[in-house]
Amino acid sequence: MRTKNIAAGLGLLAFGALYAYMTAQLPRRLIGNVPGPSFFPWVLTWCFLLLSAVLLIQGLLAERWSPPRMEAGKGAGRRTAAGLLFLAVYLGGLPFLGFLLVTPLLFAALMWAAGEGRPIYIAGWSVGMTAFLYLMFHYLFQVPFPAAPDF
Amino acid sequence: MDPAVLEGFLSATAPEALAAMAAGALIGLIAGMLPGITISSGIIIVLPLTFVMGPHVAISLLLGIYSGGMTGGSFSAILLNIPGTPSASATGLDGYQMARRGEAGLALGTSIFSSFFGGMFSLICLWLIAPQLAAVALKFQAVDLFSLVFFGLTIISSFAVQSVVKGLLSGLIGLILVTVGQDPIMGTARYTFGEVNLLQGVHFLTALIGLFAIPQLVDGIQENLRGLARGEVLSRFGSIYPRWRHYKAMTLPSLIGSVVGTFIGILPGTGGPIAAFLSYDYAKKASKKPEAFGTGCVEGVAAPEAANNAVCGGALIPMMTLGIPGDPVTAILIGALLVHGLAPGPMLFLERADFAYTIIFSFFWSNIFTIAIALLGVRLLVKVLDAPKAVLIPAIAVLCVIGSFALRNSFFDTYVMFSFGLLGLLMRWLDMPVVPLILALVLGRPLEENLRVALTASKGDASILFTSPISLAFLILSVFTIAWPFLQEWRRRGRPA
Repeated sequence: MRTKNIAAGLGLLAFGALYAYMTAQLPRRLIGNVPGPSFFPWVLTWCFLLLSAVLLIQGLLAERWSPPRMEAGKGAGRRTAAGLLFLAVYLGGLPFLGFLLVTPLLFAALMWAAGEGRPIYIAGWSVGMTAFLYLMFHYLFQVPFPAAPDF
Repeated sequence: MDPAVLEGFLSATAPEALAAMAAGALIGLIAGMLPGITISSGIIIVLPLTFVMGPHVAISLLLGIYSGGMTGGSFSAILLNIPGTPSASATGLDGYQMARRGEAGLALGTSIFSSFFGGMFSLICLWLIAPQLAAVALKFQAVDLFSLVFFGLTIISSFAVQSVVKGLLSGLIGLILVTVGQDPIMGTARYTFGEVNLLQGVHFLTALIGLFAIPQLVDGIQENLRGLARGEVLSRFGSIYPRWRHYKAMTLPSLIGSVVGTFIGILPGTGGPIAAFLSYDYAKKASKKPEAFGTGCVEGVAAPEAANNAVCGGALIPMMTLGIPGDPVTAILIGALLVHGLAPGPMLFLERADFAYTIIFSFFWSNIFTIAIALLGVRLLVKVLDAPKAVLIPAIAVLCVIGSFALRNSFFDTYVMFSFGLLGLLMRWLDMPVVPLILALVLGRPLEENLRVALTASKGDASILFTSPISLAFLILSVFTIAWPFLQEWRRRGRPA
């Protein structure tokens, strides 16, 4: 808890400073006596910096004690990270490769990440669910997804 | 009869709206039942479908899920001792003991009937209170509205979390994110980095999908890999219809749960779990046999179940009349209504009174469909508890991508959704609550808009915040709300051990 509060406090102070810098670039007042576009962000900036400093102080003053945590295990951590990576790659490839090509791959990858190991089961669900979702959203609900590769 | 009431009734009873409510109640029962799938996630999954629906059909579907989800949460709490939703945590205390004793059917029946009772009680309160509160809120000036929204934010931040500082910081992150895009008064571009897609700001629903779905995805993978034992789902559990003596036993606890749940629901930031445990405690104190609580008694199931369903109607009151969401579900409902060009708040009862009554009647029908589907289909529905999570996880991921894309048919929104998902994970690692951020995303714009309008009207004189009696009252309440947890901590430390 102590380390996290210090890390959070430092990280948020840095973010607050960056936000303050960007806010300083905004016009202050465009009309006299009327709060400009930077008025509300400045209020937020000061509150944010103040609270971040409080969090940092809380972290520094806290006792060195951490509650016992249930660890997910290395394997689970790796597969979770892989799951997130698959999703990021999917989002990157979707506009160019199309829904029908990349969705079964994502489906299969995430099923594997979740611990499923039967290839036929994975293939069946991946293709079947992609077809179902495509038919439903593309034809029934008219969501204009690119269906096939864009080349 | 007021024509708006009649129009609202007709909209809510249109065949397509009724069909949406029935589907919503079914989806809600399933989503609520599945441990790890929250009601908010259930709503988010179907959100893209609502974009192509009329507003009355969309709200019918979403209210059906809200109502069904609250009831469904108790099924897994009773049968597996794993609450499907946090609100059903208290139900498992007695429900699971009843199931172990071979009275799972009675526990499920008690849960279904008391949930219905709680939902209908809160509906009556919604009907009686909402129009009156909206009429009062219409008299508010910009400065009063600012203070009201500010109060809503402070109460959410301090109630929702263990660390007030982290709760307030989470809310501030939400407010900072709201400042991205054109400013609401002059239209000046702020923090857009020249990106055209950011001119309209971060779409609230895109952010919400990421904040809910990505951490859910991570949890799902880890739980599945850890192979968390779910236990065996009972397939035989006897009659679900309570006998006369059971109805008599559940009347008082249901009433207590309904009153507590509705009241707690009205308070922003509190929600189902608090209502359920409070009403369980009150019902125990009011009982002639308090020692039976915890050993598997009907009263111990009825009180929390009535309470968590009564929260739904209660939470709709500030949402509809003041535009302040009481919990993440009502925040999503606000977002869904905004997509359809309808802004919840006092003006809703003035400009679209027919739609306000559509919401009220839809909530009524949602409760009817929930009890009907739950009673008729409980034996089939509980089989969903055996559904393979390895299939659900990628399905949720793909649906969330579709949902964020379908909002504006933009891939940019899918990237924003993913970024918010990573932010949600980071905040969780830092033990920062995400709910204040979500609610700040809803309330940020009216907060800034009303403050700047008020200051413009007073020619920059900030004393207007304290000279308006309504504004001053809300500001005093806000200071008290922020200071209260600190005072409690100070008193606790000052007390000798």
